[in-house]
Amino acid sequence: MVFLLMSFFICFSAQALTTDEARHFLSRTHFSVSINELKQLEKKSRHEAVNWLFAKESIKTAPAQPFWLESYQEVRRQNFLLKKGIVKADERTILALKQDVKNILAPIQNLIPQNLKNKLSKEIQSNDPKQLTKLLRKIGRRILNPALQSWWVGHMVQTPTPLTEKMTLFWHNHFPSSVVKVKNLAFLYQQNIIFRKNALGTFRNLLFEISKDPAMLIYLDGDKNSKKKPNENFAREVMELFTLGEGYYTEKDIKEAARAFSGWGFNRRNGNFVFRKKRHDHGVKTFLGQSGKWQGNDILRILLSKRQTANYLVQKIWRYFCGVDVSQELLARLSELFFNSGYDIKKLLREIFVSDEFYTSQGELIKSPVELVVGSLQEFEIETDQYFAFVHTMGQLGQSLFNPPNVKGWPGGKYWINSASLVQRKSFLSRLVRVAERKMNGKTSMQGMRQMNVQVDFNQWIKRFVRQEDLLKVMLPFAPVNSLEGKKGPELILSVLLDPTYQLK
Amino acid sequence: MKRRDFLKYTSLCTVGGIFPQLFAQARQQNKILILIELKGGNDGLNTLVPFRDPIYKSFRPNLALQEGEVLPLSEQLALHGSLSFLREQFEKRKLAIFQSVGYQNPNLSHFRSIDIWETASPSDEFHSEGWVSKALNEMKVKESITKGVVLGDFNLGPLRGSSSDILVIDNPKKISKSGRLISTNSANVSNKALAHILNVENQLDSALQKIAARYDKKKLSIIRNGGGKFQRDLNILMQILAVDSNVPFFKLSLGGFDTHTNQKNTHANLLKQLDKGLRYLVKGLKDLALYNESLILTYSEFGRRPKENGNGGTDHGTANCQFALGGRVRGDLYGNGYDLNNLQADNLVATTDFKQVYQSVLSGWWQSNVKLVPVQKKLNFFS
Repeated sequence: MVFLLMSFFICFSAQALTTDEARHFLSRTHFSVSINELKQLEKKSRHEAVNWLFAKESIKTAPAQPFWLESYQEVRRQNFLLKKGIVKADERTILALKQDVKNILAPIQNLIPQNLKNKLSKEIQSNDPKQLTKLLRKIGRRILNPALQSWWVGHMVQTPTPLTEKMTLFWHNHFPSSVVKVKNLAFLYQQNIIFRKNALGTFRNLLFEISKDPAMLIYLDGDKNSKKKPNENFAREVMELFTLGEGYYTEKDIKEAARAFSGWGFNRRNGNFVFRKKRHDHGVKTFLGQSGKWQGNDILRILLSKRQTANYLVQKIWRYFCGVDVSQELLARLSELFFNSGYDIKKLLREIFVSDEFYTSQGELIKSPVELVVGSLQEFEIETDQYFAFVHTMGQLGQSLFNPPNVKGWPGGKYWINSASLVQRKSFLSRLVRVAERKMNGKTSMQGMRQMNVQVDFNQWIKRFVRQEDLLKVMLPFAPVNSLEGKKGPELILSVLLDPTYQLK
Repeated sequence: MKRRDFLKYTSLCTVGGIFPQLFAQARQQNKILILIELKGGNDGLNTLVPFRDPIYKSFRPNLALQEGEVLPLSEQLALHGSLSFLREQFEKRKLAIFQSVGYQNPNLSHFRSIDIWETASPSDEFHSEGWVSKALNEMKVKESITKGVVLGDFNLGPLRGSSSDILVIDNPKKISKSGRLISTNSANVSNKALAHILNVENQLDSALQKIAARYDKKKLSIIRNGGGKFQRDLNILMQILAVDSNVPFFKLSLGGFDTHTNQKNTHANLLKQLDKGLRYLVKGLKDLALYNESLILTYSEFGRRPKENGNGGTDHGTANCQFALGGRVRGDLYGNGYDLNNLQADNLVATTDFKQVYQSVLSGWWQSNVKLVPVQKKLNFFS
């Protein structure tokens, strides 16, 4: 009888996640691990854990639009009309333009450094539309660009659907567009919405949507590509970085694909995709061995018909969640499934999250700057109305959202850590604890865009853990490297944050 | 003084003044290489200017530099007017100028082309190891606090894939205070990600310890602080050399050279920053009695299109000029000059491979056995 009970128990426990496994599952699918969710998962099997996750993710949580976006778009539209001479630069137009600029700035007045504020208030006196355009550019660069990042970071911290956000971040890195080239923040915002909408949908839809997205058309010169002046930028990258990977096509294929994509563009006023027939090369193209009067959609369709595209995507998504490479056997199985499912991202993720290899990769992943910062904020339940200071930190750590270093995105992995960035990471963590504690003790904090304005009652926070062991289980992937002997309260928390293992998940 | 306070002090105590000549050089001194990356693709044609060439003038109705805007080196060639220090050095025969430098089958993408320059690979090969890493990994050099220092950004550039100790420094104040944040540990763990982090921590800690051991307050250099970011990075470089003159390699960068629009003023300002920075660097190296042991070399991913575009700028190009500066440099013009009659796909044809310059640095300066492929003829530009 005892034997029977025991074997039943063993059988059952082989099904149910251990605490370590539950912790691992949460750390990879979320930005941080919460003790409550850890307890919820402990009795679940791998499949049940995925069900639990997908149920949680099924709520649609599109973030509220940034408060300044409408005025920003209005100013840009007015500017466009002025530039084209459609609207005259009369007193009323200029006045309306100024009001829009003021509307953008009003809610963040106290964040703008005084010297910049002085400059802006002087420049806004001008009635020269050219000067006002310059002013808008400056506001865009210095204030709205970090504001857009702050908007996304805020959503990452507060979202009830973390996996969707993690995939949104993945797609931003897979299909990068940089503010340096795109410039129009409204387009980057729109692109971000596309990533979120398709985050757990199908790669097929995402590829079609993103290829026609104005930010992408600007970033990879798609709108400059015409029959007369072919531009190969997008044609090259769509194969090298977005679908097949290096080595599965020829220079000739790039040229032919560029011909097929010629004529793609967007409406300057509203960003809608347009196909400009006159700029399109209507001839026959031979692409990856198939001939026809191909257009851009045909190229994308042919790329999706290649198994290599599934292979390439699976490897990249696997590395994002596991840090290490996937075995050949599992890769073959996953990419077949992904391909046959019509590039269903959720189906792929389920198979990843129930695989043995996923569960043996504990602690093999270095947190990206975004994961480190967002995860730490969530850990201590820090929510504020603006995240400028944290956006600045992410930049110092080497990851400015909407500003990837190049079309390859951030290289990630061990490239995140060098002597400079490691020191920056640790000094951010120690500053976070110091500032949050100071504020808690009633000391006022400094004002300004780069100042953290947060408070945490660490002594209260730590009480949720019965034993130190529980705290470590939540915060670290495995035992700390450094000794924590004799440490208590905020001091213990700081030591855990500064331990090298906190950089991992 | 606490061992880790060094950088803090040198960075805080930087008031007007110069290095004292306190560094009688030991007999064995590592040869120092300082690479300066001009990020974005510097316009070579307006840096080393064929100012009397009518084709040049016709290609650039708005951007061609006039007689008054250049510093002539010869009847045909001049330096951009911002480069007064470099002209001085050329006259003193301390500046080598390599002309029409590039590589076969040029790639006009920024990141692919800079990869090619920094790994010294043929255009159609992908190498993961930087050309400097190759040398540092096999070279026998006198022990130093670290083998290479990257300043300016996190991009390891030609130090990528290095198995030697290197330091990336962005904020010396933060690094100096990092002692309490950093701990040393056995890097012998099976988890690769953790091993990497521990390795970086150990490299940093060991550098900080060596700095502390060598540090002598009397030898503290007093350096002028201020200037832009480039000047600030040069400052950090000299502070490090003041502590340990044997650090064999530094990489700096100056950004903003991707001048597609309104190039004229931007380019003049950038070159002025470069010239000012080099003047400052050379003076610092001389004060440290290290000028004869130092070689400064500029590079950029590509030059720019000879014909200006419609936006008062220039698009991505190919062949470019490169500067080498140092106490043992034999100043001259090397390689063939511009041939504006012979363009390929609207771009200049490179007649000197940049790997020739690098090979000369490897074997002639560092006495390294590393051979770049394909085999490169050396340029003998050392005296």
